Amino acid sequence: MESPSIINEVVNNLQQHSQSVRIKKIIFLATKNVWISDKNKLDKLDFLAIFQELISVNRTKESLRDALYSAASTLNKKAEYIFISNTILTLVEAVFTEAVTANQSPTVVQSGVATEKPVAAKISSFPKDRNDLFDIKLDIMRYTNPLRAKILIFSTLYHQFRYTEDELSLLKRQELDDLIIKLYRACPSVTQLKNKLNTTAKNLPISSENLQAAETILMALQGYYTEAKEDEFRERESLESNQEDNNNQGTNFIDDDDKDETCQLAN
Amino acid sequence: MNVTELLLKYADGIKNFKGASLVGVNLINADLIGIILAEADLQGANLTFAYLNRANLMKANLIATKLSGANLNQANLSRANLHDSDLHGASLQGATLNLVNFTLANLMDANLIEADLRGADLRGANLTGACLVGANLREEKRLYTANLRGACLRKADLRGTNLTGANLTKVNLSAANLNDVTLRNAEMSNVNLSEANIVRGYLAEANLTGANMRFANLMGANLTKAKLPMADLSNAILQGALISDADLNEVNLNRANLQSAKLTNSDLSRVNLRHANLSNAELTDAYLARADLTGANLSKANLARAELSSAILAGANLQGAILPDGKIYK
Repeated sequence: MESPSIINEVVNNLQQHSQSVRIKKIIFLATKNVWISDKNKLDKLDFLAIFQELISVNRTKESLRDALYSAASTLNKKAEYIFISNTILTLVEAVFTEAVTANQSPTVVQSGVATEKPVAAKISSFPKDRNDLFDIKLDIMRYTNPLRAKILIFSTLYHQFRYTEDELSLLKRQELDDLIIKLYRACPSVTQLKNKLNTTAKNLPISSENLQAAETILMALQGYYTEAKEDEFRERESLESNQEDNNNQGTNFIDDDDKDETCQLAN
Repeated sequence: MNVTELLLKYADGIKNFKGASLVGVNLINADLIGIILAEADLQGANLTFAYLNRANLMKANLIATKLSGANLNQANLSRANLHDSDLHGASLQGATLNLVNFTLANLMDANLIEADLRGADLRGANLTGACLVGANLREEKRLYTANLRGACLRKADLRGTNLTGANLTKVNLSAANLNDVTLRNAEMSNVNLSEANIVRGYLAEANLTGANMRFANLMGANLTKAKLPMADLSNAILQGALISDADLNEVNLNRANLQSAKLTNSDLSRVNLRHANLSNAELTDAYLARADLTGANLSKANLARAELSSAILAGANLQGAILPDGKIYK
């Protein structure tokens, strides 16, 4: 078991956080499958014990993330609790790093490779393997509505989606796979990806759902960003400035998967 | 019933609207979680982005309804009619969809993870890019068979699905992901599996007559007793695959990678194996009459008791192979 002092520290941080009430609610739900809304009842809980139970069942960051997201998806305020879940994941990172450095059985992540760092295990470049794309799509679909994800990515790459019949028909000619690839190629760093997705999400109607979609897409793609990718992007940029600019005004739905698209970003 | 009435009653806590008549209504974005609309008539209704999680829509009439982006997770649509409906980007995770009529429906990029699709009729449906991970399409007691004839499942994700006995005739599964899929006894004549991933796929006794499997990845797949006459497996990866007792009459295996594959007892008569990689392959008792092995790599292959007379071996590499008479070629 991980050293008690790390857990105590993490639990303290969670309890002192400004969102501690919501944090406790979602952790309790993920552990015991019961929702407590009464603050008094929440305060009386042995939060340390509950937290220990949660991480003994979810021994990797990915597993904990899945458990928290699953719980959040059953709630009305799903988007807000996904945010809280992400906050929790950041605060508890130390628990998972500890386990690895203390030479416990290394946390085995999805790819079957033991991780040395608390960041996502998938450090391969993209799309090195067609299976990666399937995994990314699976991650996105599990936690957000596929159409919303498409609209968000479309709006980030082209123009703010207009929610008309015509635009919905247009979107049917774009496959989610292709949109994901284009989005990844258009954003050289995780920060850029995050900013562009969030900005676009805030400008779309029902922004809380779209912000959640943004978060999901970010989580699914961030593991594929490495330093190598940023270099590759800079290289490609200098090549493109020598080529004729592709039709990048507004919509461009011609299938051009063997050309790199310069992306028209939403403001 | 009109929409306002429905929404007011729902807001009041009423959920049971069984048999309601709601033809062509506008319920875009409506929150109808857990609603009961079994046997209701919703033909042509617009339910784009509607929340129908856990709804009961058994036997409902949903012909030509718009359900794009709708949330139908855990909903029960058993025997409902969704012919020609629009489910683009919809979420149907864990939904009960057995015996649903999805003919000509648009399920592009839809989430069908862990859905129960036993006996569903998906003929001509568009499932491009759809995610069916863990879905159940298994033939049930010879009574209900999932029918996907002529459906488009290009780039669909079918990992871990159970397609035992399913009807996949003429289905387009190009570039789809079928790793670890169970396709035992499946009806797949003329299926398009080009560039598909079928790693460790279980295709024993499947009917793959005339199938297009060019560039498919069948590493470690089990094709024991599969029927593959006239199938095109050129450039396919069949490393370590089990192909014993399969019917490979006139199969095209041009440039296929059959390294360490097991082809014991296989009928490879007239098969095109030009430039194929058969190193370390098991070909004991294989029937290779008139097979074309021009430029093939048979190094260390085991050809004990194989029938090689009239096979074309021009430029073939037989280094270290065990010949039909038991001697090793040097």
